[in-house]
Amino acid sequence: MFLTIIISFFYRNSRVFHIRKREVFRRLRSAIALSVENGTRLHFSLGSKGLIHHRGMTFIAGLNIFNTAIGLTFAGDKPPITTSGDGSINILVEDMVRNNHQANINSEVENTAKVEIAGVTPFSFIAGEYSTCNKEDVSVNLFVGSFDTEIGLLESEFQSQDTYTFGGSDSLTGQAILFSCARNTFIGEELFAGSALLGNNRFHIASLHAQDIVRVLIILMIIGSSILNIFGFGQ
Amino acid sequence: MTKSVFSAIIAGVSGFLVIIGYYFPNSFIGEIRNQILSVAVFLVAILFLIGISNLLKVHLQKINAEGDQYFYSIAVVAMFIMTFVLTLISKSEFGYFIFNAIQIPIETSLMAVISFGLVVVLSRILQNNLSITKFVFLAFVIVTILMAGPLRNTPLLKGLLNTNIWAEGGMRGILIGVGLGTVSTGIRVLIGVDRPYGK
Repeated sequence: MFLTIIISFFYRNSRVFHIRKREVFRRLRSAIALSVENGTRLHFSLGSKGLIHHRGMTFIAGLNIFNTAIGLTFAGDKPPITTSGDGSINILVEDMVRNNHQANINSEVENTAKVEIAGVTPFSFIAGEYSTCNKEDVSVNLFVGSFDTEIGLLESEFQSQDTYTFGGSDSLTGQAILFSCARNTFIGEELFAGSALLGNNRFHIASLHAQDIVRVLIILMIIGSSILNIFGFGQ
Repeated sequence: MTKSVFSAIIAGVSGFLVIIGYYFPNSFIGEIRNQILSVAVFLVAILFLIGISNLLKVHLQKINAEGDQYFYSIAVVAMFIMTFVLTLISKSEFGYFIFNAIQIPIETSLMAVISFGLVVVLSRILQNNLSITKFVFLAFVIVTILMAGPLRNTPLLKGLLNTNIWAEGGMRGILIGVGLGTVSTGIRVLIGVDRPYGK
């Protein structure tokens, strides 16, 4: 926490803290820009797990990416479709869409962004996603959430040449399946770094640097403890 | 602005109390934590009802709208009404029956479909988009499958191709990244930087 605050304080005037660019986020930006230009929709899927689930932080990370992405889509003719599998997510997403609509568009224009619940269990959620993914006016599918084995059922969508499909999950099984079938996958912590890499929030960037520092410390601790074990300490 | 600060304070204080209460379960703060969690569970139940009502609304809209997918929506709404009414009449017995006789077999069949789908996906990796990382991934999958079956008792291969060590190393690396991401996201919510509950 302290690292995040300290880095965010020094971030503005420092060139030391530059973030590494990831190709997948560059492609995501391009895909969103293309969908806006073509007058098509972005479909954002947040998964079937809810906020109270022990993997709820993945949903917050997904919501941060959504918040950044939705700002880019309001310039287009068609607002995004968001699907989730939980009432809490639904309310928060509706709130976020309304806030973004008020901030980006004249309040007299009607907010036509769709926020839907596709299904409340993992498999029913994926079944509900089929019809949304296959809508004619959807050109970008973005799956960010806690997906497990069930994401494999959308394999044909990930292979489709007509749409840009991006996927990320905190589950190892979900990541392995996404990696094998999707062209654009968020691996590991990329899912949590998405808001920093897509947007320009200095706290998000600072927390990304704090994560990197803690990661290096953990690596050093693992190597150090292994060396100590080799020399017989700690046995 | 005031509403936003008020929400952030409630979220932050509740979060910190739940964390502290977790470490001191028998203290006064532990009791407060239990109360906060009880309220959260109650709210989750209400949110589930809101979720179900949204699902129904979406499918009713799809039935009314023009398109070729309305048949599925009719099936969903009809099954919902049937399950709700019969569960109410039979005092949950019918609900268990639906779960055991319809939902579990369907989901098990879908798991089987996934395994076939993944085999197709692996074969497609070779046809297109074969990058170095995907090649390594595919090689490890094949070696792991072979080591689990026909080559299990070959001593030389067992030593050379002990994929478990490599796979577990990669798995731990990814999990450390996911863990750090989860913690930093949680911290941002606690200190009010990320406010998913609105601004």
